[in-house]
Amino acid sequence: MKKKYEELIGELKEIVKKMEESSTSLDEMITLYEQGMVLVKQCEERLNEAEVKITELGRES
Amino acid sequence: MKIIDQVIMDQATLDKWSKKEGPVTLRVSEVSRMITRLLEDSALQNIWITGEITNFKKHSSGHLYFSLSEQVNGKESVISCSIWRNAARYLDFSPDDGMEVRAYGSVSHYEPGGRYSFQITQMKPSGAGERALLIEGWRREMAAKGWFSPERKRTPPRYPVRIGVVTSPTGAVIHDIRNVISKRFPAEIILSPAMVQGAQAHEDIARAIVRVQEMVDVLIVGRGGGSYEDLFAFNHPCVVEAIVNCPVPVISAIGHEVDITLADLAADVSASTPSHAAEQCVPDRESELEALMHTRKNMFFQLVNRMGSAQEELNNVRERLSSARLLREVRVRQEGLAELTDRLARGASGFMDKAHSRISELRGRLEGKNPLLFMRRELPGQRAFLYEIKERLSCAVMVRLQDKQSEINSLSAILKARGPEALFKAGYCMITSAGEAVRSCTDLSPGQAVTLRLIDGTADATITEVNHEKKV
Repeated sequence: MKKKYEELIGELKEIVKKMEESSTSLDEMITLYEQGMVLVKQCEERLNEAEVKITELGRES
Repeated sequence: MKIIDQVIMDQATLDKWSKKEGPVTLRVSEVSRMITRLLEDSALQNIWITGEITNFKKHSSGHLYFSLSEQVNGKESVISCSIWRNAARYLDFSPDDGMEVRAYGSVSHYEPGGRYSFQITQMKPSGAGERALLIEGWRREMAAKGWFSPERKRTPPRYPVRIGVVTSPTGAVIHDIRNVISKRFPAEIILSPAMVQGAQAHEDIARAIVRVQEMVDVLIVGRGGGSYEDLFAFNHPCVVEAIVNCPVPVISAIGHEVDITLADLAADVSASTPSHAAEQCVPDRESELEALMHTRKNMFFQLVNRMGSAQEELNNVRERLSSARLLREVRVRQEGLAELTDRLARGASGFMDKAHSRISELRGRLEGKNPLLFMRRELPGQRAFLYEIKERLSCAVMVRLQDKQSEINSLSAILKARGPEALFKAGYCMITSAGEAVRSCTDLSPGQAVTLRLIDGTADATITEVNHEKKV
């Protein structure tokens, strides 16, 4: 199951927050940056997915 | 009047028949048919009637049954009415007890039931602001239940995955929503179709809400612009309750911006148009991409920054590790150490001096308080004082004792002279009986035991005879 866009954005925010902390080491920083860039790319791909899907429910319950 | 003419005519016919064969007995079907004919008079066909709805009942088949009634001078007139399902479907309001209406139709006789009723094909609310009053009543009830309270309002999710839309499947609303959402954000739309107009629209809308509510993250309930009557279903408690009970946030988009229905008041977000609702529902793709770009830049900036500071730290450490700097550092530390040693020594000697002088001061003060010296100095004086006090005390006691002795002597002399001793010596005695002194012969009786008190003892006696000197 694909992750929701909201989850991706949430993870990305968490990564940026850690990167902004002064206690983060350089090694961690590089790992975070790599992870962050992957997430940014996934989000962009998700946003650029083309068509909106539309489903119509039947009237019977 | 035509009906009466016809009745008279029919009566005439009956009379004619009865002449031949005496009193005629008619069959039920014949009379029934006659009644039908009478009621089918054009004066009772295709007419408008105005009155108040009472005894309203909606049959499961979809037919509506009720009465139209009117009170004139305290006298009530009632006509039973019915609307068949097909006609009921085209009513543009929900009839209910107490409503004033104008109804169009014809009187007809139902022969199998022996009843007549007014068959209605069209009906409209009459009276000023009938609907407005109804809506206002509903609004008050809902407000009292807290359905419109701001604390109830939920914030729709920022990034919904599935968006439910309750609206007509054919109208412009779903088209607009689809367009806006597809331009803005990749979400899935689930359309739950509903009739948004007509007598049953409110029930259909409520059902459509319930049908889709479990599948989606947010729900849009929408309808394009229309007349006040067209939007009526969105005021119905049935629809408003479905919105209130919906487990996900509801965005309403009903009519144009100026139209405010009770559904709008109860929704978590009220949008002015369906397009506006769609905009409120999802974020804009462009601004999201921009934000991502910004995040990307920010992360890069943080990384570069961190690398810069790492380089700086490295340079710093390298510089501190150089040998010249180390030697210089050692020398500085040595000097510091020497200075510290001096200060320590100076400080220690000063402290010792102070301590010594303090001790001798304390010793002096202690000598001053030595108890032996104190005793030697003070004891003789105290002894002399004690001796003097003792002398004065015994002297005073002696004087007091002599005083008391002489007082006793004089008192005993008085006692001797006045007391019973002298009387006893002279031969008197004191008689007591049961511990009480006997003062009179009247206290005595023959045989009584008495005690005689004499100077040197007592004697018990019994009275043999009492002689009174004076008669009492």
